[in-house]
Amino acid sequence: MDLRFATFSEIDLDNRTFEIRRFAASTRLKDSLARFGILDPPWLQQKGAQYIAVDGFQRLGWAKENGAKGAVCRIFGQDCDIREVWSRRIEKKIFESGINLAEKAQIMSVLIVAFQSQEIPSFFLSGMNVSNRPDVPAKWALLSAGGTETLEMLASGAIAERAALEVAEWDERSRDSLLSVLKALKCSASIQVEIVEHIREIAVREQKSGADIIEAPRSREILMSGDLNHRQKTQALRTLLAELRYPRLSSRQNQFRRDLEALGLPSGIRIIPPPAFEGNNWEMELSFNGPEELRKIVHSARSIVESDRLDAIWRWDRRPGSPLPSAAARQKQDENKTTSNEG
Amino acid sequence: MKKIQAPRKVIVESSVAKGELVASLRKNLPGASFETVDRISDAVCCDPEILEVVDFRGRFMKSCPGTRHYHCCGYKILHFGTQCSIGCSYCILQAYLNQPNLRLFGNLGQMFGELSDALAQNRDSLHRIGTGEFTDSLLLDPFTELSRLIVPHFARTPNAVLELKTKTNFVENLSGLDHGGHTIVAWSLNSAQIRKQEEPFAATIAERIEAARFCSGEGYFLAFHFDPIIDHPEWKSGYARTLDRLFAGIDPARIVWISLGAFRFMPELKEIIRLRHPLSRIAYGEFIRGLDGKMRYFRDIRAEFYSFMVERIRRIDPGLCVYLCMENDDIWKQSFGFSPEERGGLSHMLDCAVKNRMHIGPFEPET
Ligand code: SF4
Repeated sequence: MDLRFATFSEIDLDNRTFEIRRFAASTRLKDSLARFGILDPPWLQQKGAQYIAVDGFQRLGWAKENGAKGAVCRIFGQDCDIREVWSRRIEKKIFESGINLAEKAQIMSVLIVAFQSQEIPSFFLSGMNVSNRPDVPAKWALLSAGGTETLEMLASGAIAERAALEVAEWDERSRDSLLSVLKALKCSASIQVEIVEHIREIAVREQKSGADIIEAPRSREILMSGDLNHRQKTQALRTLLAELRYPRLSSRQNQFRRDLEALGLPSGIRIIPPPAFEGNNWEMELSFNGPEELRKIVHSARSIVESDRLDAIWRWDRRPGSPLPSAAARQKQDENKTTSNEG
Repeated sequence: MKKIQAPRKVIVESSVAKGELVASLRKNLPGASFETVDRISDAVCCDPEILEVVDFRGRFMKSCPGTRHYHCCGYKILHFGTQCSIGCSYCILQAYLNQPNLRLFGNLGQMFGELSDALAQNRDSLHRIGTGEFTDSLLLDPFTELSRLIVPHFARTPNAVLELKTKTNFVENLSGLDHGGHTIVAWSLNSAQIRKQEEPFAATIAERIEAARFCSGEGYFLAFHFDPIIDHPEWKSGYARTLDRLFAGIDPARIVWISLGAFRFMPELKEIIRLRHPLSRIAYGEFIRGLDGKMRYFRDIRAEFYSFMVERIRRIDPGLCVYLCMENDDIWKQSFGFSPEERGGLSHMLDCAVKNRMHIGPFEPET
């Protein structure tokens, strides 16, 4: 590549063929330019009598705004293959520190056109930490095609890469609606993926779109709440989605909680079911501060443990929602027991 | 069932090229090209037109992969090949990515040798042996005629029964065989909706029942496996209808057992189903991770399936052996009112079913 001074009258700055936009404001470059000027020459390619910019759109714009006549640039010849120009442009971009997801999406959409999905050089993929699974480049390209709104959300730094790829194939309304929810919730990558997966699976099962789930009244109520902060909203949304994704398990868990409360175990005792009630490895946890308290807890728990009210928790055929024997009925039962024992 | 597409190319390892299996394939696949190679290496992607015949170096007899958490039926597997081209969306074989092509084991001599050795052990107990674990038992039978060798082998073995499990209606080769009442022909059944959506290339329910009737007419005993039972809207009426069709077409006295198994899968299968069967919704039920690491429906759902099915079957034939595949005591008790242990264990229950329906056993202790 030749190094030469090109004047702005020779450069078609409106041609954005090679532009990879950042979609996020950065003052770092502006500060550097103000302090040191252009340190790294922009790249141009000859197109007929003119040049088009390949790399350094912002540097060229800054120079022009500041009254320069032109800038020293590296020039690709007219006959240089477009794949070659793109390869160098992308390699340079990857080398610059910290490309964001919007830039990654744009780069992948260029690579997929320039090289076909299976032929993308592996050093580009590994340089950007992109999986070489055949479906992944296409997902990035879909995100890139999502337009300014999608790319701005990706560039915000609030969206996890895995979550973004998960929604790449969603319809536009669902994708943008979910990305804006994730941006607002500011939750961790693993929680984002959990939210996305739950929404996707509920939507597939109910033959709805992702947007239908996100925009349903109960979700909206959480997301629009003025009383909850973003952490509380995240937790409330996760609980709601878990309930929708696992309705019967959730109602069994709620039933179990109600049953335990109705049993009235002393406060230092907890009964812990096996995960998802699978198998029979139940646990009981006792919390106490010394022998006196332990004696008290065990004493007050004894009558409950020995009564058949406890068995009701293991009555799986009880429909969720049906109550344990009521307190009055229980009392009566206990009285009868006492009477018959006496008799 | 539409005839399956016959393999166009058969690749054979040279050490088994002269064997009986390859001879049958040559006879029944006149349009296929045959290529002989020293060794077939694992393929990277599946080619449905290829059938591989290898000199199998592993064990032909395997135990049913039970775990300590869930009751296992104590079944033995005669391993004669791998993969299946029926392509059910839920099929576990999709996860065996390193051997995606249809593959048969051509060293039949060794297979029968190992089988005979296994049967010679524990002569005082019953061996229940099946072939449909890593492939469909009858899918390639029109080309291999393997049933014509295996079925008579069991007829000569007093303390063993063979179970051929299939979703096809390829039963012609079973006609006229000397089975000695030692072979059970078994079909996996489902609701018509699941059949249509998740196993569209398998025989229809009507074809399976028709094939079962044919086998019954040939004197074979029968079994049916409602496995996988899949949660879907209207599942109750769907499974009830299949049961009604089954009992309308088949004399229950010919049925040795019916097994019930709710859909369960290795976690890796979920992504495979998503990629290969994007329209399938079966992986989005209420699955939890079971004690064996597999995904299973939340217990209340499984128990509801089983209680419903058991009750319907009991109405028709209270004496028919119904069992749960890979379930725990808790679910057994809720569905049947007893656990296998209370009836001597699941293996014993199945042995009793063989004795009661097929009149095989008990056997004299060895002296
Ligand atoms: S018939 Fe059985 S082995 Fe064949 S694809 Fe279906 S589940 Fe798999």
